[in-house]
Amino acid sequence: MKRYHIYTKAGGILSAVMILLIVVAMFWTPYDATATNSAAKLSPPSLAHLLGTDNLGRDILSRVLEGAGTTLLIAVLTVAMGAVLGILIGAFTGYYGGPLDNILMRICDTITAFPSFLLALAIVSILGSGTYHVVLALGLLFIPSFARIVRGEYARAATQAYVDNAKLMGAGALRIMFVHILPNTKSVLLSAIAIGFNNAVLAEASMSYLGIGVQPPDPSLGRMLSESQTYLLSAPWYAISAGVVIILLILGFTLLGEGLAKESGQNA
Amino acid sequence: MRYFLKKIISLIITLLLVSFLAFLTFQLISGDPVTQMLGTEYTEEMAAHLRAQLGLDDPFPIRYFRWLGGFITGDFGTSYSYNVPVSSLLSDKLPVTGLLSAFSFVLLVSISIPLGIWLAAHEDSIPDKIFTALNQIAMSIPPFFLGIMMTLVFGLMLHLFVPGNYISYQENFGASLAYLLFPAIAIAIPKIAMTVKLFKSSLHAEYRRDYVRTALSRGSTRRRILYSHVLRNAIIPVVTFLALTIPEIVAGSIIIEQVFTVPGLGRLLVSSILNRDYPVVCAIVMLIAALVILMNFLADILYRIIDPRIRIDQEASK
Amino acid sequence: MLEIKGLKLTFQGSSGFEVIHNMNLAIEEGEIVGIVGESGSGKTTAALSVAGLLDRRKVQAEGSILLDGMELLSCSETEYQKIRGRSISMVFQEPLSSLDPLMKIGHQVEEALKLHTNLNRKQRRQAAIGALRSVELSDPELIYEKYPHELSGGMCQRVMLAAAIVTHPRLLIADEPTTALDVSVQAQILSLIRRLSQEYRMSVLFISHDLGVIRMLCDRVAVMRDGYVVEQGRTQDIFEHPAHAYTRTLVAKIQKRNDFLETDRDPVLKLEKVNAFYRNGRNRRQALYDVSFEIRRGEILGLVGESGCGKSTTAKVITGILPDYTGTVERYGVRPQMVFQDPLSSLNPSKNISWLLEEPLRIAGVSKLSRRESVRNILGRVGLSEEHLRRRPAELSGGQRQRVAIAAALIQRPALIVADEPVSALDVTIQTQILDLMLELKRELGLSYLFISHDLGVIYRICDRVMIMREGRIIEQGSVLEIYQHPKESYTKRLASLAGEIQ
Repeated sequence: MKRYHIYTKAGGILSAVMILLIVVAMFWTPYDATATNSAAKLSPPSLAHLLGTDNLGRDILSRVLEGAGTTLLIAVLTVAMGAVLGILIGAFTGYYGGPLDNILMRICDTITAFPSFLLALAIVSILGSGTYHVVLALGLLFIPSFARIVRGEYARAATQAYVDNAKLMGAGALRIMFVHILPNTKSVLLSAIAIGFNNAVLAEASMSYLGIGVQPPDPSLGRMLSESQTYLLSAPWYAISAGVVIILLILGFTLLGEGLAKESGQNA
Repeated sequence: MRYFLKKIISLIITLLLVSFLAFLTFQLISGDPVTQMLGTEYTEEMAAHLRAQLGLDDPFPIRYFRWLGGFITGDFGTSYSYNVPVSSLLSDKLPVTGLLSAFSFVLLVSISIPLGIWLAAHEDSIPDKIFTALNQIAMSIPPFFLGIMMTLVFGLMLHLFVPGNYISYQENFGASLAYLLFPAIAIAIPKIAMTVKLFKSSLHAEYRRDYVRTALSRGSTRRRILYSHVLRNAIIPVVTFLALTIPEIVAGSIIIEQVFTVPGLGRLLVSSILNRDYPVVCAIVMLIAALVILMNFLADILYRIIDPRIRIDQEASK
Repeated sequence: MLEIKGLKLTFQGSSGFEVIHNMNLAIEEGEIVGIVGESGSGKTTAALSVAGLLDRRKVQAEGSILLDGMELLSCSETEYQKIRGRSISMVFQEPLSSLDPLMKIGHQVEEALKLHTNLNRKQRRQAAIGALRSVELSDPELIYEKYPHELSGGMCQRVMLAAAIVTHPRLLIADEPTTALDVSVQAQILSLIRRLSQEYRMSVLFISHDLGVIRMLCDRVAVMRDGYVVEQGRTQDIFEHPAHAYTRTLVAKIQKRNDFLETDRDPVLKLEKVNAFYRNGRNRRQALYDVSFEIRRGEILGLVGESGCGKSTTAKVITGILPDYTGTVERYGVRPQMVFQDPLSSLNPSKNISWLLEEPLRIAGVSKLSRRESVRNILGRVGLSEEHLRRRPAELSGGQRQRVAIAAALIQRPALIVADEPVSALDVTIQTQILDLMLELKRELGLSYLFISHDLGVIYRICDRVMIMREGRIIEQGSVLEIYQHPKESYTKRLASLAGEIQ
């Protein structure tokens, strides 16, 4: 019944395919991603190794898929953390307004003005690197952007007649916030989540590329890119494979986010 | 005038707040620098002496204000790992990152604005359609991957530059710029894609406003409407966006420097984080924070200068 | 002067449907001709086609539009650019957004001169200031330097008129130019249009949905519906002897019903010395001053005033949405319910009708079975059926949505319903239906209404008593006939004179 924007369809399909591949790779990969093979170092793509092998003879396809798995895990956890806390903060400040709202939003504005990966670097420099510290750092940084979006939606909703109407029905504040208003923020939230995924993937890849994110033995696309630079001319497929997977992940989520945003803009 | 005063006061308060947070994080949570400076073999006496020397025994507010005072006068403390003043480390690297960022910002502005206008005047033409498709992909490319690919193609295959062979701007400014062209492009391309997209959608929205219909009803041509009405209105959000992009570009340079082995702030920041050299990390973060806050301030001011509506709205609500 | 003959407009595309059918209309020099009709009747499309502002790739035109003997339909876009702004000018509904926000008023008034004349900068400035003066703006030199946002809506519409007449066009097309303005400003703009038409021997094609406005201004009127001109003639004839059935419904809308409140009954609401406040950041703004009145069982009390005068604040105080007030509000036990202007925003867009109607009962803890029962009963009352239950508000028509809103209010069994402009967003025929429903509910259930409206015709038709509100105060109240026939305050007199045009 509902007609989807072409971006939503393309992004949805692309993301679904990527996620499917990653989930499959959690249970089965063509090769053991950590198994080295000194006979097949830096071999170009072939039928045996679809994306070739790296400097230790490991199968790049298997490594890339496992690395994408780490990336996706981090993205899911950070977005979940940012979204849940952001919704709570945004709902209360947006609905009630007042001085606390002003102060919190000023803080959120300042934090969101920073390039998020830089702040994450600062946090990780204190916490130390590693997968869960990256999640914590990025998750914390995503709270303000979600809070800001949700707050805007709630502040707008609070002036709408349907909220007045809910008050007339005798609904309490919590019921108004989470039963009446929340479903109306769905499309905006979905597109924010898609954009959040995209930012998380990019930030994690950047941090790992710099060697400050995911640490061995956890596989990581960013670190693979950094390793691949040494063999750039002799084995360009190494860098290209890792990079293209990152691009596809980001492209899928970007398209999805933009498609959803366009749909919600048209409905409003 | 009162507006500017208010803005400047809030600018200072924000800066103080951020500096306090940075101090709290890096000076207190980061642990005892003394143990890190002295390594594994030291006596309690040596540690106590060093602590007193560094002023770590003083009460908290005094330490904050001394630290802040140092910051304002350019004394960012001493690096743990190099044992030299942080400022001397930065004075080397800062101009390099500054040059790279400025270069890519110039590229961004000088390409995206004319491109946006041209595409708006040729809406739905074939170049416009090709661009829209490419644009979406360009926004999804991580700049550092773009940098790696440019190293491969222009550096290793076409030999247009020698990767890793950065020439200092003091030595040969032209050659330095020629080397920085490639990292600057890598940073600028995704930003150009975003700016043009914003510009186009802003133009598109303006075209649908009522005043366009009014201008048509007075006998204006489409072209005249674009140049005398729509463009001025549509460029406002773009200018704000560009001002806010500057910190993003600096952040972008920090990664790209790693790709092209440019000896700027980025490489220093990364090595300092890995070595837990907090004074250096703190100084760089503070510098970027100041840049972010200043750029936000600038964006606000620019907005008011361009758009007459804001002046009155603010005046009325104060 | 202008002659439209056999005009047919067809939207291109897969379906290719005709929106204007065989339209004939002539305008003499200096004549003011109105087109009246509901939204979607084709009146704006017809006007835009005269100005050549329809997209030629999308709309195909047949027939003929002659301006002083010149065939407009065969003009090229370049030829049309020379006609627009010089021979034909337009003003639109939203004066503020119709002006470029970044351009000084003076330069916008000069635009047509720049395009169509060889005047130099100084002469243009002089002409623009002259035009600003002729639309009765005081201090035109000062206005010249201002930006649109610095002026009020009425002033912006005067600027639009100045920009339209600066080239002394033969024809002015005015598309709902007073709809977005307050009642008292409306009258000024209308008399200005009349004066300008006489002064410049300029013909006016005036488009409106508002019969009162048309009747005040136009020499002749054409009634449009679904792309047809169903009737045209001299304004007075149309109003006094409407021939077409549709015209009769339009005119009937502004006639008085005849069941007045018979006797005194118990009050259902009583306000005494209510002062209400809005908090905006640190500022607390007083919105109501010493408001006192009461509503009795089965009574419809009208509340009239311009936007921002405190009408909606009164509604919010009564229903308890705005808690920041002093004075007493006696509700006699039952919480009054509310019906809002735009049901699309007052009904939660993400829920279906059945959920919306059940929600108040759900909150009250009513069991699922009896909730279903109550919803089924209420549906019949407001003229909806079970098939509507699964739909969302956006999937219903405007009239159906307002029925749902009334049902949602009724299901809580209130004695009083506050209706805040309940029919303003609806088309005339639907308006009549909803007003009939409200009257029926009043008779059958003994409901009372506080009926808020800026539409004097509607107030006149359904209210027993009426209050006039201005700047947060009730300046006059009494029975409808009293107020309309013997207004005391000067403001009420102005309103009543407008209403007099309607009666």
